Amino acid sequence: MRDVQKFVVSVTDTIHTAMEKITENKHRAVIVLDQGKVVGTVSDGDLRRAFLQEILPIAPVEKVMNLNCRTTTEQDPHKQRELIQREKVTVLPVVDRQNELIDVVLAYEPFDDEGRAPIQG
Amino acid sequence: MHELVMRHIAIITGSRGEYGYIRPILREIEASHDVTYSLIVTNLHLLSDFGSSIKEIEHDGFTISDKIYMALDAYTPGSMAKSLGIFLMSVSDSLVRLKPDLVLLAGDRGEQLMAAVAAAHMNIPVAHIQAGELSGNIDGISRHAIARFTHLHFASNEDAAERLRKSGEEPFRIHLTGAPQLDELVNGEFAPLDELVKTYGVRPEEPLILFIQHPVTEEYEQTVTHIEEALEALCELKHQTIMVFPNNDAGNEDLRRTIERYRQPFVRVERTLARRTYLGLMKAADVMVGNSSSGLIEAPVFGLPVVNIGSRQRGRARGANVIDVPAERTAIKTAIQQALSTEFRQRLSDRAGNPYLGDGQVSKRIVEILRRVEINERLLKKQLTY
Repeated sequence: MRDVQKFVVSVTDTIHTAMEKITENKHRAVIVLDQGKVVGTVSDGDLRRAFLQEILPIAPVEKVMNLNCRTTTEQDPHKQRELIQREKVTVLPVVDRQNELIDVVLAYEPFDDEGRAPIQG
Repeated sequence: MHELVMRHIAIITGSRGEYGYIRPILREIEASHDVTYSLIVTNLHLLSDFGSSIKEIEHDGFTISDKIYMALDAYTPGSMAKSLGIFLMSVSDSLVRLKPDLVLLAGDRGEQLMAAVAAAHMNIPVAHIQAGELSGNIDGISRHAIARFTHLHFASNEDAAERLRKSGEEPFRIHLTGAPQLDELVNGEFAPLDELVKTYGVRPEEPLILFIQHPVTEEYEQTVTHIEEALEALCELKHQTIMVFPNNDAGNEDLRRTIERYRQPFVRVERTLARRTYLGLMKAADVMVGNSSSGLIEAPVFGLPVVNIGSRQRGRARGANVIDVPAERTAIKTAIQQALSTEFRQRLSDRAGNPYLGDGQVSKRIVEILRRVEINERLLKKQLTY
């Protein structure tokens, strides 16, 4: 299981924090948590729309997050892979029955700091 | 050729509900050659937390003369009252600048009351849609306070008209027009099912629940407990559910948080819905749950069963489609099951009747009165008959 910390923000975090996290994780989205439960996601697109609506970066992510983000309870990596491709998202939260985050599935491997895709083994 | 004198009407809207009251009237005014409007948009419409419903107004093509931000972000009883003060100050300036012949208000929200106070003090006659009804919450009190500042009452049923007469309003001011928000329903202006399937993932073969529960200002302390009872019931039933965020009355922030935490795969959450979509969902839904007035006024047109929770609509006229329950999970669950039963639906199908009048011509009637009414001393000088 990967370290999910760089893929999550709290529901009370600011849009600025979400931007920092996305910049850090390089996966164009973060998952929003409230007391461990997945309550939404914020993607580059959500941030772009917020910018156009003149919402300030100090506003909480709750104002702009996608309330109906895709989640899965699927544990099998192959099925997770199929699912994320079908749903066309970059970050897919894996949750338990209580909707608490347990893992993250990624659509793309990260690019390196120069923006190049990593060389395949 | 003499110059045409335009009658100029200022209209205030602060929430998606009462935008539904005034939209057919705005359209009617736009189609007429001797009436014009100034639209003042405020409160919920301007807040991104609630889906910035001003976008719908812009999309509908209406000209907005003023956008007045009023809501303080604390959402406590104190900040709610203070927010109204902000609107009172701002709307006074707007009315000074716009110089309307009349101010048209709708419903029972605080910003409507503030506009009534401002206009009446400025000697501008006030007309009020959905006047004289009973409803719970601070809104019910505001509605009757608005009546004292109002010069023309538009009542949606005889019961409301009678209440206005009995509370001392002069009979010549009271017009039994019906409820204009029913015009669009009667005329079939709502999103078709295939659109809802595509955009909201509605599965027509399964029961669909539409859930909308607002805070009750008089029960501020119990806001979260009340919605948790409803959410627990919905989570036990596991039917596909579309939840809409509440309005911004005190307590709404906790309410929204709670809704977000109860997110389940069968639940979809919306910050707001365009009226066309909302009406389409009412038509498509099998039951509506919560405490919105649309369950009492609009839902009967679709024969939609409604589980009405708690005291927010206390005293308001209702049809046979409404099952009243306390905010208690077992009662709510049982009522939803009853509402979903074929027997209940069958009973409604032989047109249970709507306690609110709507023949598709209500907005026409209202605009006609606004066009013809003489603005003179008789209209402006109010006298209570009792």
